[in-house]
Amino acid sequence: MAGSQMNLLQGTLDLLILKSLALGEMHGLGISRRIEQITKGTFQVKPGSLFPALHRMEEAGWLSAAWGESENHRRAKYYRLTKAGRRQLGAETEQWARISMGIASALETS
Amino acid sequence: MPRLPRVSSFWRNLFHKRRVERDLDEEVRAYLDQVTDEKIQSGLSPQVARRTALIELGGVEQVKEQVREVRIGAFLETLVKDARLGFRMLRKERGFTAAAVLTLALGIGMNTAVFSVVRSVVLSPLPYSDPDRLVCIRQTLMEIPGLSDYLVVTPDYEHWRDQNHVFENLAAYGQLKEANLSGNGEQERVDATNVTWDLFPMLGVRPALGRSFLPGEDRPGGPPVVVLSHSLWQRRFRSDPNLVGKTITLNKQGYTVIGIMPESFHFPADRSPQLFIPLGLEPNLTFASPAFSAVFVIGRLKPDARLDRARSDLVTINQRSDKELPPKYPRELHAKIPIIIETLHDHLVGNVRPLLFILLGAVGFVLLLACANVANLQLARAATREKEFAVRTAIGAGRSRLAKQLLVESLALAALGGVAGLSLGAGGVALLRHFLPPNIPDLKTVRLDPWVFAFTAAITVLAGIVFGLAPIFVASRLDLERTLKEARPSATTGGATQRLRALLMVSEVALALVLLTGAGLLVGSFIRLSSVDPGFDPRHLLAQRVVFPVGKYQTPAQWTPFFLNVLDRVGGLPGVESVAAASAPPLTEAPWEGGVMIEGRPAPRGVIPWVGMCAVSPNYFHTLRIPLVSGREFTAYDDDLASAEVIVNESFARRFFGKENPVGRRILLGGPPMTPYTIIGVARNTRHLPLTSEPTAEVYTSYLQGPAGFMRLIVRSTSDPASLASAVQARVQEVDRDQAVHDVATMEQRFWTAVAPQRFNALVMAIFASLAVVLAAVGVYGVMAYSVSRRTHEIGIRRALGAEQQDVINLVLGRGVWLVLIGITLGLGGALALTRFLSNLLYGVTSRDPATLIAVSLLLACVALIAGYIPARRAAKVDPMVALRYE
Repeated sequence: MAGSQMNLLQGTLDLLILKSLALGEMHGLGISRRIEQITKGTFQVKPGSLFPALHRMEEAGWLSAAWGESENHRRAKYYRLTKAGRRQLGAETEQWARISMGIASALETS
Repeated sequence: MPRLPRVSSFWRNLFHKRRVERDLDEEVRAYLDQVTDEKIQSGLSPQVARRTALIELGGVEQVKEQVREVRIGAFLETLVKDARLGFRMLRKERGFTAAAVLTLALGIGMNTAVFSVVRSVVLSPLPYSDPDRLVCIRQTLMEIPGLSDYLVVTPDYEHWRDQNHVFENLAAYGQLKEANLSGNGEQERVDATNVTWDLFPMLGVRPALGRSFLPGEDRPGGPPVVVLSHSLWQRRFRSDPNLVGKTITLNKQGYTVIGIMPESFHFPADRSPQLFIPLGLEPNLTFASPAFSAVFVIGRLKPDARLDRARSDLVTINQRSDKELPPKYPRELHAKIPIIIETLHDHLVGNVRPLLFILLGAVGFVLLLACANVANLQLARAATREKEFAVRTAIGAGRSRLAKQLLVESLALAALGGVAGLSLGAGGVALLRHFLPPNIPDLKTVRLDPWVFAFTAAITVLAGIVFGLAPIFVASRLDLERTLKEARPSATTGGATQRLRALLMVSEVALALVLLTGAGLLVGSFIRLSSVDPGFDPRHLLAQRVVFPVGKYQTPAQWTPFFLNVLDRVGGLPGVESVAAASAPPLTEAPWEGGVMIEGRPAPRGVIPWVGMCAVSPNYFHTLRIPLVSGREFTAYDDDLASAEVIVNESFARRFFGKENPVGRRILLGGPPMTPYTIIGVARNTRHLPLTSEPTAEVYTSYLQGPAGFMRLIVRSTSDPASLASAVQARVQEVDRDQAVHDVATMEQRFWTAVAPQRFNALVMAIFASLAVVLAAVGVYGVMAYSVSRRTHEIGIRRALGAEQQDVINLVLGRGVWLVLIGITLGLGGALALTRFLSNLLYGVTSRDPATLIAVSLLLACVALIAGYIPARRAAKVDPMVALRYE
């Protein structure tokens, strides 16, 4: 995993986390695996980026967290979207769509 | 969910830290366990699975630290933590802390003290309303040497006041004069001045009690009213609250007190008068009026007016009034008289501003030196902490995190230095106030105010950052692996660090040399000035001024008997060896000047030369022990104006007669018409004030042949002259009960007062420079001692291989000598560039005086070499066996 790739995509990490939690609550490893899956392996989120992002987003009020039990009966912290988180997901999706359209049209010209 | 998630998170992070931390730890470990489980399920052995998972995770502590860094309030938290850690480190290393704090406190304290003076004298606005628009206007009819304040003649003042387009107000006040205050208590002379009615309103100052002058009270024949200064009211009238409306006696005339100025009022001049009377100006004065006099003018510009426009406006008015000049008046001259307009602030503090900024620059240098020294200490300390840095990096501290922590640590150190410096600064202010010469105004108000605190805080932070960069520099170049592996810091660590040390040492030497040069020049000036030959013997001499009360003793015929009587009585006092009187004895202001012509010679180029004129009593030269080069002194018989005689000084003889002996020649003085005099003697030159001015041509006339209205009595005593003061005063008042004696001081006191500004400059700069030299010496010592300690092993080998002690000393000292020489060269460059700012403060030396430059360079080189020699010598004494075993 190249550091440069992570830097470039710093802003998108939030969106990916919000997106992966849209369907329901999930623990850290689950989120990481989910992102890998929904981006078809383009992104592998390392814990060193994942946890700071989760905590930052929780502090921002987009996520809430609670302790629960994992599939193989281990204690794990589960994250879920709050109302503010859903709003944020909507806003970021829209923004991302605008950006990708802009970039795409920029690449098409000339 | 709370409405303000960030605030509640901040609260939680700050106050439920333990729970937050436990949560985080569990979360990361749970993640690790989950990954391990996955790996085991995919067939790895538990140990391998665990290790792979750990590698994938990147370290539990590192992840936790990364989370902590993004938390809300993380900045504050790390700051607090770093500061706490910093203070703990500082407490642990008491020696280091004490040395660093002391060094910083000295630097910061000096800056605080000097800045507080600069702030109150130069930077604070004048205590008048809207002071930026106040200006001082000066003009002079002729360049009168020794007269530093140029006055405006009253007709010009009135024309300006009535015809200008740029001033809201033009107020005037007269020269300071002495008034005899009598009634309710002893006679005393007080400084008084005449002011126009609108001066106080223009300044925006109201009396604390009573009222100020009214329009029209400043006309001739106006009512006799007076406004008192707060200090006079307090001292003489014991703050009598009912004084306003009462009558006091001034010069034997009754004046009604109408107001008392507030305590905070400073008159806009160097000397503050104690009472104010209206300036009785006739309206519509012309140049032909007999009531023509000269005044100081202060104006308030209209809000949009600028200085240059004001000047051209006044010049236009002067050109117009040229037509009114009486025919004999030199018309071209009047139009050409330069009009000097400057802001009142410039006028009042302009002459001390350069000195204060020089001092501020000098203490700035001292602070830089202090920073360099602390940086040096920090470098040595950082070297021993390399391992600590390495370990902390290894367990998860990022480089920026480490740098932040080191910076906070340095700032904590600076803060300690700042606090200590502030208290030193308060002491410094008291010290400065004690030594400051009287020509620096408004010192009563020097104190530590919020501005000074802000300044101190700013330089403290700045200093912390400056010397805090040193350890960060070391930490950022850390080679993790090697540092952790090696048993001790190696000699090779940081060629870059070595260069940084060399740089610090060179700059310390250079800075110290610049300061030392400045101090050398000022001390040299002071020594030259205080060893100036005043031309007489100042020991056992008491001088006092006797001015006749206005109204009594109107003619010379009345003055002479009075003085002869006084001389007679004072001469009879026990302990008085001899007594004399003169209108302008040495160490007083330069005498009035008059025109002189040599009999039988036309005036050169039609201009009559001016020389100083001093009336002296018989015995004058004997009493002051002014040697006569040739001829004789006046006697009590030289009282016949028909055969008037003069004594000239050496400058006069040289200027007008060259090598010829002037005794017996005749000259013409005064006039018109000029009076012929015969030269009967040539006296040695004596010095007037300011002491820096060279003696000029002067003639002494006999008091008996041409008396003056004010004389100074000079008494030569057989013992301490100061003890005679009251006896002399009593004798003077035996002759006339109303006669006050003032400005009493021994000639030695007058001499030391005259050199006080130079003494202050020299003393302060010498203190700064000594500190700089000590700091530089400590710096050199530190760098050398450190390099020796790092090379102990190498030195041991050299010794074992047969190097002599001297070889080792040469080896160690060699590089130091080079660095010192580079520092001195750079310092000389800096000194040559900077000392020209001192030019105006120097006497008898130029700002690039080679002797001073050589002397200070040698001095500093010696000090630096001694500082370097001590560690070198210690290195040479190293027992090779011990050194080799050391590793």
